[in-house]
Amino acid sequence: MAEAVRPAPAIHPENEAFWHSLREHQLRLQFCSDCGTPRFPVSPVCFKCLSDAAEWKPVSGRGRVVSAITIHRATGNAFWSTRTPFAVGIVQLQEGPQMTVGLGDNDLKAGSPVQARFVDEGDVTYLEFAPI
Amino acid sequence: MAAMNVSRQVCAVGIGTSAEFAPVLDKAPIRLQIEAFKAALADAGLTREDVDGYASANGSPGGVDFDEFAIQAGCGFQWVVQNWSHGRWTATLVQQATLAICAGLANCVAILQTTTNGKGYGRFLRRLGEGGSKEPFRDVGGGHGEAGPYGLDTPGAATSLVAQRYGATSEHLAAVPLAFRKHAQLNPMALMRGRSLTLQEYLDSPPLSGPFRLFDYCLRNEGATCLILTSAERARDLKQKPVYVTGLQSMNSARDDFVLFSRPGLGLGFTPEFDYAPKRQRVYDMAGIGPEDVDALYMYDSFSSNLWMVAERFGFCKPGEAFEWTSGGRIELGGELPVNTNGGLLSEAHLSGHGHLMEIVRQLRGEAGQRQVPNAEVAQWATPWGDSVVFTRS
Repeated sequence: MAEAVRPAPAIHPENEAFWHSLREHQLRLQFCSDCGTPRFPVSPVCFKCLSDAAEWKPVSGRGRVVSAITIHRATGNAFWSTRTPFAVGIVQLQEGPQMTVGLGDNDLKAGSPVQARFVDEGDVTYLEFAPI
Repeated sequence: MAAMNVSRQVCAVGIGTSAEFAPVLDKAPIRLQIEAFKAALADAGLTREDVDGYASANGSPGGVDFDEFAIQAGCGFQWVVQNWSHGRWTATLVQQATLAICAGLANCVAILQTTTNGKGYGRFLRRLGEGGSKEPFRDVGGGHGEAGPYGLDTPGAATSLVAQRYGATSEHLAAVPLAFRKHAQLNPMALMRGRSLTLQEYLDSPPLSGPFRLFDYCLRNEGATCLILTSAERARDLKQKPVYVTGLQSMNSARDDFVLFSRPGLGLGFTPEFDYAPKRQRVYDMAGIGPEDVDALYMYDSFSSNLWMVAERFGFCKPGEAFEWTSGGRIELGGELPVNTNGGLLSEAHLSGHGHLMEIVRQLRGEAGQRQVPNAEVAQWATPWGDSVVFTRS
């Protein structure tokens, strides 16, 4: 049987700056050049003021867990069956935005402080949060 | 321009389903859909020529397109609409059909839904579009809060993140699937009829994702439904006791109000947690009732915790209290507010919510047999993401 490959995101000109930042093991987000709001997910405009202008800036990578689960049986893409049990959750960054993302520890709970780390897998680098 | 009055202007006059629902039926979607259509025509006492509008829940996978149906069933429509088969468009189809009738664009609309699955007839139809949902890989993730690159690639896994936000025990969660399983024992069409479920059996089943066990997930199956709507004026002369479309409300979609199987305020998606203050839902204003007047509630139960989201969004209980509110038999037949008396997606069949619409019509006609809610006057369809239809007997 062919080795299962992790399903990769569709990286294209509109979102590549985000995935390139992870590749360089840094977490960078768009910040609105007009009102300063950090943007996540990637967007052509600021969701607060509709400005097009933005700069990519590094963020701390520190945050806290909002909700966390362990997946014991993966029923979607077959790759994930090779990884069970694994943890996924929602992390709110110190800078405000929150993201649904991999967790590097099955025991993380809502409220746990976490730090970003970077997982190289094939041509893509994924974000993961682990206990501080 | 004053808003058009659509309350009690349109009625459900016919219901029909495929002869059965089953995990695998080995019938093409078009065959299942025509079965349901003919059953609904017979129920309504109408002919094919009476139906001039067609509204389709298309997909799951390779469903039936409006033109395929017209060609193969020999119909002639002057109004058609085709939405995606997901439950997020179930109320929308009823709304669009109601509006079309009120506006004179159609006189009589058949709302058709056909579900097949990849292990059933879907295995022959891969070229027509099956291949799993692409939503989890959007930059904004999936509509249920999925994040494909991180293995949160199914609605169930994503919804278990919602359920995890509550301080609920497994016993609390179990109350929902156990209630619907009981109802299914009284429904001859239910897949889970004859397979009762005890709390111990529920607890003995291992967690699969977050707090969810097998019984917290909906069924996968094949089957079709047809709901026929026409004007209230015409309905009075037809064979069946009319069931009125009395209140309508669209789904909400906003940055802080759209994770499909959640409600606002829980800190899911991209919006940090906030105190959710439920406001009176517009569907009740149109219907001229309140949640306390609902005799039976029907909701999109792809996962057990969806009921918590509906109960809190629509004001049946306070935010954060639904997991207790659903306990103690309140949601069972004979309880204060029977929910999903057909057995729902968890125990009847997954028909994108259209199976619930069939049941609403049966209940309000007083034809639900052993599972009849006594003197049912008002039945509500509602989803965690906020769309709704109120149906009434008069």
